[in-house]
Amino acid sequence: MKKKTKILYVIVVGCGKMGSIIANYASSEGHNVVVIDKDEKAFDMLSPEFSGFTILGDATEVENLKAAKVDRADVLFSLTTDDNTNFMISMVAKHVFGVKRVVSRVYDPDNLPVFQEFGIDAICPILLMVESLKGLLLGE
Amino acid sequence: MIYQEVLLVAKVLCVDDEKNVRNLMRKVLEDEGYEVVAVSSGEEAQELLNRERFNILTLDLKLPGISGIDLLKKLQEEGMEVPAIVISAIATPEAIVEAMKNGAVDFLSKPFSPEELLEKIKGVLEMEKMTFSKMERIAKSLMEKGKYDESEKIVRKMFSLVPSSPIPHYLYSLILSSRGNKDLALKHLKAALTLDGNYHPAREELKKYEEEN
Repeated sequence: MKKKTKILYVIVVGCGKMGSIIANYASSEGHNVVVIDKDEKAFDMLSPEFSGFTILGDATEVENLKAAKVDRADVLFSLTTDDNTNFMISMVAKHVFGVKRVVSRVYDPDNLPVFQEFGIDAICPILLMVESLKGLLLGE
Repeated sequence: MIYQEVLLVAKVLCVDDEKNVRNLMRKVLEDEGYEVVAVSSGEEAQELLNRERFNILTLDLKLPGISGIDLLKKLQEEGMEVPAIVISAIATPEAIVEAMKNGAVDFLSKPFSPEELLEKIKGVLEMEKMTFSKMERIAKSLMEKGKYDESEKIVRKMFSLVPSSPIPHYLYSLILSSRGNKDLALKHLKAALTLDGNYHPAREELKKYEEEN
């Protein structure tokens, strides 16, 4: 039997590979999911079973975040392909709308401290890869 | 079938051009035991409504082809009485007022949570149930006053609201009987009892018939 988890209100910004996979997963787990992307074609990446909402628009515009009812979100994932965009969206979500958990993708490791300084959970794919490779070198 | 049961197995028609929203409606409502038919256009909805009876309609405003508001207008023109909840991302006061003016009974803004959707659906069905009980009371009081023609009009509406309820059959049999059409009255009494063998008023009335003959 499936473990019962709390149903979350999840907003995913950026419906690329990463965004769509996590949105599909969250939806299949029964969470309330809203995906925002400025490119309508991006939503084609969502699975046919996806049962959430899509909002077509630029998430750096506050109106689009409001349309997603961001003030109710338990968690927001900012997964666009641009660090600056992710930073701006995360800041607004966290410090204007008070979203409890904001997680952002950060491409450039040098940008990590800025995100962390403002209470944004930042995940850097490069550093994750580096850690894996280091482990390999250490024979782990 | 009593009305309470109808509420639990209500048939819902969902109109939304977004597949993900249709998926969501199906998932949420079917889990609660509702029967759901989901279509992507107003045209399809109209065709279905002409053929089948639904207890409730959920309607998106922005649709390809005929818009949600236009569909509401058409349904009103045709005298169709299915209660409609408008579900839309456009939740400006103007949009809400326009929907209500055109016959929508409630409004839900996107994105919504499953709880919000269920609350709206249940609210509308409760309202319908109240309407039905109220109609029953009015039909009876009109009969007591001897206004059988007016009572008949209300009973006919009750038929269309819940065809599976024994109550309109029973009331109609009383009207027919007052007009001396005993045969047809008896048929409706039996129909009421076929729908619900335990429906007390119809059983009592049938007893009277049997004693008379």
